[in-house]
Amino acid sequence: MNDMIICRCEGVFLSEILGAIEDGADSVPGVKKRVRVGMGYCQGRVCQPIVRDILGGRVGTGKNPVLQRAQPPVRPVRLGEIVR
Amino acid sequence: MKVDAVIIGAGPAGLTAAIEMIENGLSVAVIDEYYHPGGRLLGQHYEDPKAPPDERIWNGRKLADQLAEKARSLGVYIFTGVTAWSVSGKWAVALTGGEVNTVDSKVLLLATGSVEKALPIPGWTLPGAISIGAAQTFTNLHHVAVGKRMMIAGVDALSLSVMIEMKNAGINVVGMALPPLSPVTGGGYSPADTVASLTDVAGLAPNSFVRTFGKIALARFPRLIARAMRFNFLKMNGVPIHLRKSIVKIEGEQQVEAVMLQSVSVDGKPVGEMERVEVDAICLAAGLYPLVDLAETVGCPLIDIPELGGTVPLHGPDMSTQVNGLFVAGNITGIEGAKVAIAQGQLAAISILNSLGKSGSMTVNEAIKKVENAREKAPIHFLPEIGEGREKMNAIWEKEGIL
Repeated sequence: MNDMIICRCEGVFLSEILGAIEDGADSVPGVKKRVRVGMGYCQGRVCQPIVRDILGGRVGTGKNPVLQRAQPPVRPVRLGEIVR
Repeated sequence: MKVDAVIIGAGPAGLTAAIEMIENGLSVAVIDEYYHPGGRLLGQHYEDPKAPPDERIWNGRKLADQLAEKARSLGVYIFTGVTAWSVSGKWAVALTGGEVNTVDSKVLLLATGSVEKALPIPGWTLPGAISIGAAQTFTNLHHVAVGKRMMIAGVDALSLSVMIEMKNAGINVVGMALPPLSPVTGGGYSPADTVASLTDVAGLAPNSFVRTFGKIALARFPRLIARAMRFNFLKMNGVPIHLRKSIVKIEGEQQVEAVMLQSVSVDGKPVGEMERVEVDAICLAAGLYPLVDLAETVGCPLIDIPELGGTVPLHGPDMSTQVNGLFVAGNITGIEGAKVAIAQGQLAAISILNSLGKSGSMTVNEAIKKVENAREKAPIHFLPEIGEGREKMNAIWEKEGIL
């Protein structure tokens, strides 16, 4: 299989995500905690649907994999604006 | 700053809602991340064969400007180039990028639209690989050609209409083909599934489709047609649509130089040899999904309904949610075209007006009818089972939504 980047912000490759699943991750947060997928600038806006599909195909529990929870700030913002 | 209603998203739904609300006595602020109001309208330019003769050409840019101009002249505050990064209380919307830092309001309307799904094919991060929506914006809004010789991966209503728009702009599109089956899940985009989903798209180029397939065959015999497609005689606007080939790899050192095409079976399994096609750009089309993050942060339950394009906020037929004072409209509720979004924006505005003891330009029921009407008359349906999706949501709302 050709390896490729899945999470562009954090530079996480498909092989690393598959490794995380092998390691026991069965949810998007589980993969995230192991390999930093979705922890960058876009906060998973690009890669979460892909990771979810990968999990759906691999874990195969019949249930939809758990997604990460959106939390404020939902977009990048300067610390100065948060403490204002 | 304090207003009666804050709307996040200045697309067709948000702007229409703003106009309806201010015309009926509410003060309104609209917030949008982009530098120009209009949302996805800005990139849209196509012919709608189902529309009345004087409305055949859909010029999204012109409509966006008209809506924004009307809203502004009525006194709506439109903040562009400004990002809402947090929503709290009832309601305080925190902003970054402009002079105003917070807007307080009685009601909040989320019209945040949708985001493109990424399509990971080996090589998809090379410069020259761009999403189909970005290609549409470059072509129709900025008048920039994204490539000299390009291909499109993904055959659906959006990518076909963008292909036509690019051809009209004089860009050399050398072909469209399917994305590969997912290397991981083995699922995705088989020729049979793609042909079945194209029934509706035939409206885009009725001649080539009906001539090739016949209208009934398209709906009833997708597998048969997919089988016949190995001879690949479908062309639209002169562009070959390879329904039995998938783009399995994007090649290039510093930027896109070529794509590798592989013939596939009716079920999308690779068969036969690879073929190299030199291109300098590739558009990736994997569809859209609703942008729901702000709804999630304020405690609105999310429901996964694939027929609507993904996870959407639980909402009623009148666009209200379980969260008091929170309403939704447009693609955040499911992926549809601009005309439906406009009707939903008006409906949400009327529900908001009613919730504040005012009445709008029509009743909620009349506005619901208008949404259904727009859906029926839509030139293309991005999701073929959108009607079923809407019914599912209504059923869940009946059961769990009304507190």
